[in-house]
Amino acid sequence: METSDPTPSPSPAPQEGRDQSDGRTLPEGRTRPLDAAFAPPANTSWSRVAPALAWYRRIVVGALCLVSGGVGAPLLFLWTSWPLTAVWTGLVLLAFVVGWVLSGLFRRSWGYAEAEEELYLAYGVFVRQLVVIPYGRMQVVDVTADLLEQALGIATVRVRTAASTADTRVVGLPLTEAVQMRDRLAARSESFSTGL
Amino acid sequence: MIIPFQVTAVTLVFVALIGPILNTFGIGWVVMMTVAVAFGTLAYALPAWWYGTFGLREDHLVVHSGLVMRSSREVPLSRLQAVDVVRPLLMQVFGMAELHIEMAGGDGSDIRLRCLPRNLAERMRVAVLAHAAGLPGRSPEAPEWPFYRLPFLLLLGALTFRVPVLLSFILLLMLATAGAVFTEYGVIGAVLPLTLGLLRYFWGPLARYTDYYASLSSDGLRLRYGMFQRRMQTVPPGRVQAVRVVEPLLWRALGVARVEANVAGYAGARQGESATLLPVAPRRRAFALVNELFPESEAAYVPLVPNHSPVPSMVGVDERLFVSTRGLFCLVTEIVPVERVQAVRLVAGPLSRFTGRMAVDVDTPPGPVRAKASGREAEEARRFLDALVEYGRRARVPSAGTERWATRSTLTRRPGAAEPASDPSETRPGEPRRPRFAEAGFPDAEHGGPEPGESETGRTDTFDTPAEGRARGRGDTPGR
Repeated sequence: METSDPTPSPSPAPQEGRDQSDGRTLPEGRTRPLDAAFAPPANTSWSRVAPALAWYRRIVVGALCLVSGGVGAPLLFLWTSWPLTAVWTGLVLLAFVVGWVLSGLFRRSWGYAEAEEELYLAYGVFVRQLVVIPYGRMQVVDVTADLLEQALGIATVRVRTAASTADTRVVGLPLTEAVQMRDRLAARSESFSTGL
Repeated sequence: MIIPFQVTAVTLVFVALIGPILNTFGIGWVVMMTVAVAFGTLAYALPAWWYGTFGLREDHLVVHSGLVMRSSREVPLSRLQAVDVVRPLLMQVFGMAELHIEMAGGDGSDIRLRCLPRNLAERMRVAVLAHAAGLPGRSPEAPEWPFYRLPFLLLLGALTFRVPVLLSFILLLMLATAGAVFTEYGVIGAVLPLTLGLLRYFWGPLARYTDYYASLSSDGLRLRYGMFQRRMQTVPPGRVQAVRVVEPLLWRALGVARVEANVAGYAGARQGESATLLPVAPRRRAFALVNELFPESEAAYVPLVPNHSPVPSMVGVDERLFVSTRGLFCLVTEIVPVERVQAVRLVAGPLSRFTGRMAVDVDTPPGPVRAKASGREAEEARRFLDALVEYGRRARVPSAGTERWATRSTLTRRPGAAEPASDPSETRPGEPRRPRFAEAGFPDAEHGGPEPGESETGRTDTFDTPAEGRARGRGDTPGR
């Protein structure tokens, strides 16, 4: 896990441009106020997630593209003509490239920070979100890892609150890191507990 | 009492289905089969009833049910979210009631005790609430103060006086006249959906909220309403997670509003209707209720900041409440106490890169209230988020949980007073201060009576107001 800016700054204002240019989710400098809105809480910085997350996404995208291209193209060639097949193959390749790039962007857009009484998450490429969950509101914290995640050595920490609208997860943490984080969060949710 | 019901119901269904069988076999066969079905149902229902039991073990409710698949649930009553006593028409005829105990686990976590005798259901409700409040199960029901009684004419008028309802009435009349004049039967195709819509949105609430009466007690808000289906809801203090006041366009001319709430127990489609706390009430009374639900705060005085976007909305945060107002025609005011906010989200959609506007979502347990501040400038949105987080941090006192509210020091405004029988208005622990409207002296001729527990005790015919003496000397565990 890399940390973008380990030196805590007293006010988040001067730091945020650098922090987000590390994320590079937005290309230009004119979106500075938008980035300022997604600054980490005071005295912390975004902890970034493992690069394996990007590979996880790339493998999923690659598999999907391989299946749709490998099955769709021969079928199209058999049933129709080759121009359609070429178009289809081109589309699949384009989707693959876009997916590849987006996976990297998505990985870099992810950040989490554990403040004193809240957990901050920031993620999203098209729809950027900053989620703040007070520790006292966490009802369930669990760690999940599917087969591919296990192979890549990462895991997902999932936090549930009583609000069903917020599906809050921290993805792409190394397994040991995830387990430690779960234990930390569970302990804090206990100590800050205020009922429902 | 439930068994004859079930047997009769199943047999009736069987007899109704019997047409084809009657054609192929003779009448004798049919009679024999009917008797067989009746006995079979009886043989199933009797043991199911015998084995279905419930009881209170300290402050846990234990429910056993099922014959083929036995199930047994034990529920900590301190976690309950709401208690409803429901009496559908048929049960009213036979003097029975259904007790719903809503827990926070979402759909299917609620407990329904069906076909209880009515006074048992009432006693059970009182016992359950007492346990949830942390009092011994035999403590009498908390006294209540009348809060609001909805006159039928106001309900009727308000339900009629809405743009969609009026439009569909007019359309219906026009169509009916056209159909009658030109003897054109094609209009039925349009009349039918209109009628169904009116049934749903006009007749439904009308029948549901007839004879509506709300009162406040230290056990929380008590609502009684319904014509064909009599309901009595109790929402204990601190269970209301968020509230919204809805004022449709024409209602604003009348000065009335509707109050809906998010209560964690009322999740899911079927219980969603229970979320309405006041179907129609003067605006002022609606806000008085909000102030009662969230004490030590004043929703009407939270300073609001308008946004400068095509979709107007106003948002304000103070130490206790998050308030947002939106809607061009139907004005919706959403109020969330900052300590009940589950999560705060800052959302910037794909367009916000160009407009520079984003939204702050305030997540609460599921319900009609979806509070958000939309169309905000970036820094402003972040300021709102930080303010919400900061105020929430201050407001969330770890000891201020809502379980066992009567014995909690944080919720007891008048501590001490351990002996709960002598004077109803003074001695119950955990009793909040007298409702504010009593002191404020609203010009409310009908229910301005400031004497708690005194005024309208004898007035309901279907629900006798729980007086102090009623609940003495009953068993702690009403059985079966």
